[in-house]
Amino acid sequence: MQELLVLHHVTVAYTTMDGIKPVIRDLSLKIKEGEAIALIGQNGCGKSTLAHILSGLTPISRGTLKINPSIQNNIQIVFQNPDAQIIGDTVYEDVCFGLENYCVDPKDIPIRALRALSAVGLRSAANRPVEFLSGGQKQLLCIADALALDAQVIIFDEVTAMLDPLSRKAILQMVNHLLNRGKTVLWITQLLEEVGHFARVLALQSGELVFDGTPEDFFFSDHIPENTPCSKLGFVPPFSVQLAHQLLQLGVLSDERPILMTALKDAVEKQCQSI
Amino acid sequence: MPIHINHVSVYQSEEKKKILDDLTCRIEDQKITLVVGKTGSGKSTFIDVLSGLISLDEGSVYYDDEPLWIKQRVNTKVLRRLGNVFQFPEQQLFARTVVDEFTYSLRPFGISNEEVQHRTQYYLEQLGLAPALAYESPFLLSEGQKRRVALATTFSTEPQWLFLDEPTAGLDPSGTVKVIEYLLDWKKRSAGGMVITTHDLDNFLPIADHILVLQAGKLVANLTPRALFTDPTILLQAEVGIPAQLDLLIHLRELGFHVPAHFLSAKTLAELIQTQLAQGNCRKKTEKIHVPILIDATISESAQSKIAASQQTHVNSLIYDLDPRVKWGVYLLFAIGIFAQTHFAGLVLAGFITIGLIYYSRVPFYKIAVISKPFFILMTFSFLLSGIRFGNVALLWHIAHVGFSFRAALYTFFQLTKIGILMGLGTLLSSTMSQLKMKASLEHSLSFLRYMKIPVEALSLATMLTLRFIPVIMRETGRFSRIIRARKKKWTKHGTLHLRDLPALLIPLLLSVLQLGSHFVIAMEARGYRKIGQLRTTHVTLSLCKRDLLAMLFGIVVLSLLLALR
Repeated sequence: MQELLVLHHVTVAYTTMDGIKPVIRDLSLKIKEGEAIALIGQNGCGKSTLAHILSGLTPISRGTLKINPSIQNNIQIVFQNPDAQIIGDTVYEDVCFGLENYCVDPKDIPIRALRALSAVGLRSAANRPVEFLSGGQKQLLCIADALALDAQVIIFDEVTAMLDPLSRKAILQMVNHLLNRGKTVLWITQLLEEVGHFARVLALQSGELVFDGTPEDFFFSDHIPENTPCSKLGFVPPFSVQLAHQLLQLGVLSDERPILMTALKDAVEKQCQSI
Repeated sequence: MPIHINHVSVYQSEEKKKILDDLTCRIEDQKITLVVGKTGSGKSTFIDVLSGLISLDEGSVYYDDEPLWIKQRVNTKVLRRLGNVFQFPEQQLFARTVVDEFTYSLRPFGISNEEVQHRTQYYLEQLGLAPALAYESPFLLSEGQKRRVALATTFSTEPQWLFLDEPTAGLDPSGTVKVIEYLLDWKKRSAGGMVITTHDLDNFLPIADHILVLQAGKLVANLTPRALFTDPTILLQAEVGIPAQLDLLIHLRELGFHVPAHFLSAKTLAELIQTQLAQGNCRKKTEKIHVPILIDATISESAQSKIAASQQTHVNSLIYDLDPRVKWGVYLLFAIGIFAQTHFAGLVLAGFITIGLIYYSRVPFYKIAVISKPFFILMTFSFLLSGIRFGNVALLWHIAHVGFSFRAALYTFFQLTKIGILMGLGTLLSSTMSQLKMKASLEHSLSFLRYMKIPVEALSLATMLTLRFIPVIMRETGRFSRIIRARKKKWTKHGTLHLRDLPALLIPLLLSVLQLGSHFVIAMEARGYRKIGQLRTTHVTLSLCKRDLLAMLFGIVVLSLLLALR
């Protein structure tokens, strides 16, 4: 798979009253086509700044960002608060706004807008005023905005933070669907269980990349829970992982590394059947 | 001191829709009560009702034997025992120093200055903040520290009852753990209880004693975690979803495990699974209990009817479909006609036409009234002021040297009525046109100004942004005035703010609107709108059809009529 985004020793710093304050420190990173990446870190560690760098919204103080020419203009970002990014009054109008900005031929606008809305299940809601959408539906609309522009890389900046569990599930289903279609996804979250949906984890701490590896290594690289990168870096593992560690210690599980609750359920069920 | 809620209903102002619909329940003290429901189910309104922040349209709330409302006033005696923590509490800070924040929150309790100092130090320490922070500006603190300062100001009033609205929203897991530990500790020490609204069921269900489930303003379930554990379908029916831990426990039970009806620590649960696997308790799952996964894109019934209603108004109203340029044109013709008036007869006609148009467009009258109300107050004031005359002139009436000239006042009234009517029409214009269409049509009809080097796009962009931000500002004003009312512990049904409360309203309001604005600008840029004057295409092709010509004709007829009446 070809490399889409390459960050080379990137630093971003702001001048404040107390001098220069770095938000991202000497960060190097490669993102390949079709990758499913979760980005985690505590409040204020620079997650959003990194997302803004990758989507070209924040200039870099030092270092370089290389964007593969094949995806120029095709990196889209979905923010936490949909009310601060939806511009149209109706669902359809909002999808068109992005297409207009990229000078899409007016002839092609309807088909591209409606196709994107179909992909997220909002086709029948095209003429609905945005104010009548639920929080989850607004986020789906923002995903449609990105899809309409043929986004190859989609960055999600804590989009499920304000949603109820059911809407959260619907959005994650949609993201899995996007990954199956070959899209590249960078998913920023505070909810560590969601990491289980992705193949690669990046952890940030005070602007530094402190972990880059698989979720299995992040949560299970050591059989003592306190020695895993997750605990060492000060993260609280999700309940599913805590339980899995206990079951591994008791010998109930042997080689499974479940992170999602559904995976854990399956692992326990398998034990039942083997009896 | 339990809370008794009897047949409480709250209506959305001016509309017949109920936000809370005939709620009756009892909330126990010494307990943690969770209020769950999907967004828009009435959770926050329920908290407002309990804390007396909004008046009840029907029903009553009693704290033990004490009513929360006595006629039009909130019972201060009850109020002082309540403490509110709002969503994103860090946004409510406004004072020059941290200690001033405490002084503001503690003012209604009439306690001495030394006691304020003492409590400030004590509660800062309780929340893990250095007491030295007391003399810092709250705006120089980190977001996490700000949130803790805001929490500390609520705790410092030593309330018996604590109401929390989404206390862990936006917090990282370690922050969430700290909040939960503190709440459990508080529960042990307090005589009252705690009511929490949250989406974070994974973290809050294990500590809850009682759960209220709301759906579309109705109380659909009032149960213990144990009952929820036995039958969680209510969470699916209310479109909330089942949290991961509960989901696992149910699954284990379906597999034949004997699982107690409460939450367990990871260690205990693992041991339970091990023991029961060894005993051969579990069986192969044969029949899968049907747990429907509701994808958010499928819309609930209540939402569907709302949507149907909204679409109807759009479909049935011709005014929505008119070409935006024609709407502007007709508006301009009206404006000329109205300003040319010298007699009341013409204004009466213009007034009737305006009312007719509002009725015809099916825009609810209150929408127009909300914006026009301040203007009418100004109009009355100007009417009275302009009539005042000094000296001994022959007037309608006078006392000593001050008199009132009805003629002069009438003249002012006449001139202002013109503006009033135009304002009503203007509001109608903006509420029958989407902001993007408004921007497009402004650009289109003013494009000739480009040759005079007037930045047309910047103008129309500014108009669009202003229109988009009016509802945002109204919403945020409502949010912060609610917080102030909760902090000052005293208000009437038609609450008014004192001058000294203004900074507490304006500073957070300004900061939050600026922040939303900056998020919005970033989002515009992210969506490809990078600079004014960039090349864009448009999805609306404006073309005039028969109904547009008819509307234009109507405008011309009205103008001629108005000019004839002049």
